Amino acid sequence: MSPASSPLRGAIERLSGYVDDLLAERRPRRFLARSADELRLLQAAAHLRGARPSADRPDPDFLADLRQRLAAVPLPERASAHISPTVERVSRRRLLTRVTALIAGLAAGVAAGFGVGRFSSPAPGPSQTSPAGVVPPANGRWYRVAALDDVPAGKVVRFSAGTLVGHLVNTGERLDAVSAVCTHLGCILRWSKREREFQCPCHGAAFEPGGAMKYGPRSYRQPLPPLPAIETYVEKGQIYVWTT
Amino acid sequence: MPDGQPFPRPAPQPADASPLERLYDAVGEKLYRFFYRQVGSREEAEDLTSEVFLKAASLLDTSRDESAQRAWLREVARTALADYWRRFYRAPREFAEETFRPPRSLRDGPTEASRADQLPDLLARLPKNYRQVLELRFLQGCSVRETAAALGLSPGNVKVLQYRAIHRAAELGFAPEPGEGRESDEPGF
Repeated sequence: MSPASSPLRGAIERLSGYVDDLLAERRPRRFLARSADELRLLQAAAHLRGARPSADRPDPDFLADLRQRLAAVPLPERASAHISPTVERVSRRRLLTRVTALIAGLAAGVAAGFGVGRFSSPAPGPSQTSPAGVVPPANGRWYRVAALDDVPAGKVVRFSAGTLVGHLVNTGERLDAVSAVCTHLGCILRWSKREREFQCPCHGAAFEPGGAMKYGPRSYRQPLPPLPAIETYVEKGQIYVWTT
Repeated sequence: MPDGQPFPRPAPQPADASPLERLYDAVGEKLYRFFYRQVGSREEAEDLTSEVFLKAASLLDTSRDESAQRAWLREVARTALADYWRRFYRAPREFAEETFRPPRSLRDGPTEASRADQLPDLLARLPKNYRQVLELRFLQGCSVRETAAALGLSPGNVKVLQYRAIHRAAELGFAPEPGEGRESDEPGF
């Protein structure tokens, strides 16, 4: 067998590591295939693993637990009887701009109750980015955290999703989400309606609704970084955030 | 009922099961099996199954009939699977859906508990050295080192052989087959 060239060598090693993870019943480590062909090898390997006789039997405990979780989910109101069976095929970035469009539309008095995908044109202007950057976990997913109706203009609502704790902020113009973790020493911030600021219970720091530091902690002279922003999107009246 | 019931007692069904719970009871296990055969990992299959049903918990239109609910769930499942593979290759979702088709031998419905001949069938179509390395790895779960010892090769050569064998398996049974309908990719309900 002739020695492989370097890019092929990398693909061989990545595939072998992927197979090792599958065989060890580990969740496969994430990496990026360099080509569509390489992805197909991963899919083929996953399929070889999944095709072993009787290996696809589910864990009864998992099935029972999931059923309990489903039974515990409160049934949402179903005002509109038409829900598209197709799933929105919109990139995250486009969704971000569309969130802005949606909130602007609501503020302008447009009737609610339609999906974000109905907007024919994305909102102009740059997408929302925070000076602190966005919390961008590469391996995240969208978590549903609240109904849009529960976060009317001017309101701030705490949420937790996965490992993330944050606040949804409806400015009346757009829906933002920021981390609820103080950038000083990690205490969880609470929202003060009266002061319209996030306050830290530990050392007295305060942050603007947009995440910028308003007051520093007591006896700490350095300015604090702003609260990281969290990506949000709205679909069919539900607010989702992107995190792990 | 006399002693020695001839049939297992059916699982008790609470009378107040919601439409979502009824849907889950009908197809939850099938969906898990579908995902498992696609991603080859119990944890990942459990996550995907949970993701689809939790999405259904908020978005399923329970006013529609059951076949419409199932069709909706299949679509969500396919999207979730495409998104899963996009974690390994940043391509448009449509691409990830298009690239992947289960091999013909694995496409039958997931209702049977055991399809003991599937993987051996696939392996039987491969050249001997490819079949050996895949049998040792995927059927017997040998490490690269153990496989190398069994075949009298270096670990590096085992990795190369394994790469080529999976490549051939993909060509034989896993490649997209033009002209086929999409229904065979479905979760089987």
